[in-house]
Amino acid sequence: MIRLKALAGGLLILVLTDVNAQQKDYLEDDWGSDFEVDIASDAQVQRDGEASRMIDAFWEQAALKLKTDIAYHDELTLSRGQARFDASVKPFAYSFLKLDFQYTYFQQQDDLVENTDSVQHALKINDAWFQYTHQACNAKAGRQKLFWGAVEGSYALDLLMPMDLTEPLLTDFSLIRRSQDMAVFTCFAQGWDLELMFTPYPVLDQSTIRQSQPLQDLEDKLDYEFGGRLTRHWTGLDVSVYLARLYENAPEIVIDTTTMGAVGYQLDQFDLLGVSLVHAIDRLLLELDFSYQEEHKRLSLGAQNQSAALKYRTEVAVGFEYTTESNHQLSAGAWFFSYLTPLRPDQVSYGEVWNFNWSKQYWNDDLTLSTLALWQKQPDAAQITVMADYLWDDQWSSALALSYKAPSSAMALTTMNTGIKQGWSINLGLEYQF
Amino acid sequence: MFRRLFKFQVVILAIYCLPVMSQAGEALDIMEKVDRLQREVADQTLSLSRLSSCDFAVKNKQVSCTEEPRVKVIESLSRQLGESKKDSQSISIILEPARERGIGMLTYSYDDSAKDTESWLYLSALGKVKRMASGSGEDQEPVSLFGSEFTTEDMENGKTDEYDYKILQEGEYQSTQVWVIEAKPKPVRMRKTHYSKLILWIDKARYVPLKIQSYDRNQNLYKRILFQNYEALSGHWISRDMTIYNMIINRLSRMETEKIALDVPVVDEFLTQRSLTDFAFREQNLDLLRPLLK
Repeated sequence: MIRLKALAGGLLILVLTDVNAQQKDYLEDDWGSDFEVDIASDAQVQRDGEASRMIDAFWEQAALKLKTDIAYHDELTLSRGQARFDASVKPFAYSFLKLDFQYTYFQQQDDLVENTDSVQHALKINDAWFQYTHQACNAKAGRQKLFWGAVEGSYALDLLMPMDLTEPLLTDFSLIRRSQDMAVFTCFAQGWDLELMFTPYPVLDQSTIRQSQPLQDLEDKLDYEFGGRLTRHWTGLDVSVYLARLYENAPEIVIDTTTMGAVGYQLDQFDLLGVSLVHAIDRLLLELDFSYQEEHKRLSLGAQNQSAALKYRTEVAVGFEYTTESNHQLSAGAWFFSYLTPLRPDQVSYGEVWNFNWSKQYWNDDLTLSTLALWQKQPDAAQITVMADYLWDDQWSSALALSYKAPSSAMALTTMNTGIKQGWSINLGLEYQF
Repeated sequence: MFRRLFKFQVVILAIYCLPVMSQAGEALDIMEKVDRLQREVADQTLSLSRLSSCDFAVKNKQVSCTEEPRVKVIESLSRQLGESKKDSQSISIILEPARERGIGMLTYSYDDSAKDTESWLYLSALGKVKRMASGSGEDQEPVSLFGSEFTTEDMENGKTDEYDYKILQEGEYQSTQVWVIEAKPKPVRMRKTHYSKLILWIDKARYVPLKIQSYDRNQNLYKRILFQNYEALSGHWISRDMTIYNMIINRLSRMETEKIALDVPVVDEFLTQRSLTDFAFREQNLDLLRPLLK
């Protein structure tokens, strides 16, 4: 009897609930047709074929970025302003031209300014290249950047672009690379890419506003670099094979053992054989770079060739990137190198560098928080940077970074930015772009 | 007594459930047609869209931004593939604002939930194409599109099998005959959605949505999408103005399709990584298609 009453009661509730649901009138709109939406909308975008007159299109695509940066570590260590002009245009059919010029004004408090009574200026050309495409191939010539390898922050294969250590490394590795004059030819065919590169005048790492005279002299003595990369793309997997003849980006300083003073530089030209893999599994991206480098010849400046044996070394970098369900982006990499031939006692024959990166966007992507931690062994060094980047609107943005570099007497490998002093430092940046 | 009540229960259930079952079937048929038409619109389509987002306030029946809207202008080309045209390939390039200009994204997504979505991002600062780990449709949490209130879930189609549909009401809404349809996520969808249900106002004549309301897990009104300025193009109805209102945080995003071309000829090579780095190739192909934009 109780079961029957419960059943009848349940049915009654079911029917009443339905009657109640039917009473809601979905056709009566709380935001009716008389509702108005007023969202300021700029002029219509003009980007059709008729409007693409070259000069108009050039200015339409142009952007100017004004930026000021300061860094503090006991005193101001970085104080500079920057104007960057960026534009691109299609001059004629099957072609493309890209320009990106950067002018930096270093104030006298900036550590890079050697004479404290003066300010200094520098003009950098990040991009000035022309691209022409024909059927399955294209050629790109001029000042440009080209990145090889899969593991970010490792230099097992990413050896083409030297470091620009005048730029602070906060949480973005791409900021600290120099562009070079190159010709790059690329062909595409059904999941295959073949890329050939030629650098007529290679350049070296730079850590002063203008390249120092000895390094400039060394750069003048360099021959060309050349190489190629063949990539096969499968679903979820990319595999690349590399072959190249390159110069090291950082010369070795030759020290006179009696006076302990620098007497010159040595730079190796080497042949590179490499492989890289990128494998996407769900939210995880696995990355591997492997290279074998065999010294081809050695270039000396101001010093006799100190070690006769040619060097061979292997480098391996492994890394991953992972995006969590709530869009935290995590990545880490480990880079190991080891010389296969005996070196002088003062030379490092084995090294490893580890990096860890986290970033996440908040508040409708207006706020980006990120962290980059670096640790290296032989010589030991460590650095961590925490950064907050905030977009005030479509033009204004600011960045605040706090860095800590562990005390170390050792020279850092080039991954670590020499511009960041040991201990705590704080960087502030303000940017306007339109 | 039990037999009498059982008969009564059977009759009541028959009266109550049979119309619902037939309505559910009809609702599913309607939604499948709506979905198919939307996929047809996304097939071989080039568009230039302006996406504006801002906090909003409502005063005297007028919605207005309480701050300067953030504006992104995006040029996209997409096509549908597969037997039932449920797989898709698309490329999107950001034209505005200046700080993001040139960022491009290529995405391949598959109806088969066991297959991971593949995407590649061209980072203009690095001049490099990077493969992204996107996960599969099975485990994907909805993510915001370019920091707007639109999420991947709001824009996706081809997922009608992941909902139970029911017609709630029929009649005239804003001078148009509509079905009001409720969509409740099935367990497979429940795992990856922010919504407990959707209510859709479907135009009976054109099989297009006029309004969609989504509800959060506590059954509170979460988002309201209004589709306006419908225009007939190449036999398809296109909403030129789509605005989504997040009713919880009072933020809106408006997607205005400034220009669109349907059924454009897309060369197979175009929707590959080549278009992210070979600018001359990309611009040449787009310049052939841009005159078709309306």
